[in-house]
Amino acid sequence: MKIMLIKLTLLLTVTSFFIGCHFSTASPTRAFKESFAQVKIYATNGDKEPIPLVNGLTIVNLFDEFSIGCPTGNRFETMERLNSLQPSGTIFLIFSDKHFSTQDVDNFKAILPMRESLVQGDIERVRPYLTSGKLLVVLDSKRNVIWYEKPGMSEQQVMSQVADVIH
Amino acid sequence: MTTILLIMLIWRLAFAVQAISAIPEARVSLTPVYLSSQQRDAKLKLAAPAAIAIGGSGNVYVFDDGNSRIVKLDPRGKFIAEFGRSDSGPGAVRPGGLNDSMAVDQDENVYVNDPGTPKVLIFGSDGRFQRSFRLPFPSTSIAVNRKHEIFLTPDTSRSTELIYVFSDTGKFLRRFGERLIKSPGNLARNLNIAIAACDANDNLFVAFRSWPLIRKYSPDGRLISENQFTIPSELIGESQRKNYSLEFFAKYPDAAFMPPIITHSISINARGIGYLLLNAHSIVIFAPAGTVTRQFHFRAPRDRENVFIRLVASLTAQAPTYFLDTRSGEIYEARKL
Repeated sequence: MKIMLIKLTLLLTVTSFFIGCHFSTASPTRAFKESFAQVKIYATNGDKEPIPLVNGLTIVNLFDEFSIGCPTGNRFETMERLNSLQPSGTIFLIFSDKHFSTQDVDNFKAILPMRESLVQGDIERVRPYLTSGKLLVVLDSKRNVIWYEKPGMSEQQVMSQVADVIH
Repeated sequence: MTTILLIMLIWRLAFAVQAISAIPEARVSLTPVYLSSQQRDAKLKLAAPAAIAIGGSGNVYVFDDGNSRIVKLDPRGKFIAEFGRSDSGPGAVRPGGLNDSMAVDQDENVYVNDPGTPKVLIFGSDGRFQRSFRLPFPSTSIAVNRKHEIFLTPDTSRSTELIYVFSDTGKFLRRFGERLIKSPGNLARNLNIAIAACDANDNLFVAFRSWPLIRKYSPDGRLISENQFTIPSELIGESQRKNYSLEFFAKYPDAAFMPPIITHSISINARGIGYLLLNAHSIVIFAPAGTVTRQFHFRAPRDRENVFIRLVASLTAQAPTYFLDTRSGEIYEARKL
């Protein structure tokens, strides 16, 4: 009887742990997905529009305020390396309209490679999810978030995990 | 034919091997203009100031790195004003250490290179924040010419040009200049860290932090001259000398080699005479053409307690040359160099 009770207690503990884990990770993800759906980019006419759907994957990197020590240059390089893998779909580097002016983004287009991928956007709703002012997300063709950058991930981890998703 | 090849080989070797030797001592008369430690008012104390510039009126601007502000002093060191903010709002300047730089144009607008964010902030002569623009990578130096064009030296491992030019409204205009090491890589990035200054004719002079070279570019970005100077022997250790060559750096642009810090700052005076302040208190003087005319070591007023990282001459004939000590927040002037 005593053994049964211990087993039952253990089972409940383990079950509740998994349920807890499930809910604690699922909730932020759902909230994140809802927030990310609110990300808008600026069309050439100045209108805000959702990230366009494409056949294949859409790799999106959001840039907000560059913080001191933020490896911004490394992220640009990561995006260029991902681009060189020729993923089926498209890549967007979205710069927040709060901290980057239209001219800033025009300058970046003139200076950096992948000029077609650089856009200004409204990323206010996902600001809480940014790490060191940036966030990389991969969407499928139905705009579902299938991968996103977790806090503390290194550039190497981001690169290798996204490369796996692409392939 | 053999003779020509031999001459070319000797020339190549002479260029590849840098002159490293002890530098002669010369006396420089330095008079204190601003001694931070003697200021009673906390507002007047500088904390690790990292850059200095002189306006046409002779006023002195100091990038007070530790306090995230710009301090404006009169030519005698009297406090006039402070501007910039330490928060994240418009006009905020953040500490960037040795890469902080600042320039003042002929109308005394102040251009601050904030490598931390990275961006350029522009303040009016009254200290009022006017505008800022963002950069895709940090910059290690800022210079401005009479047309208010802003010259920046990017700090990036990317394979790109040496100089980026923006208008004073922040529009990217052009880029030019060949990097020392063209391959991308972290060592290449360190080797390509450059500092720049404009002369009164809008020519641009560029020096490298870790390589003994002075380049002169025309206002439209054409390379006019390239001249070397001697590395003071105390600036480069025995272990560094073995691999200290452009050939090594080009071959291993990502090698774990820490290049020596040789040059701290560059400045040009009203007569077109240029100055490099080297690490550990040496000065290189170069002619308007860019050729080195003199090089010497000087003793700081408080000897090793002083850490001078900036020397700034003025494009106005009347102003003296100033030396900024980042450790103590002291500013000295030299009437004659």
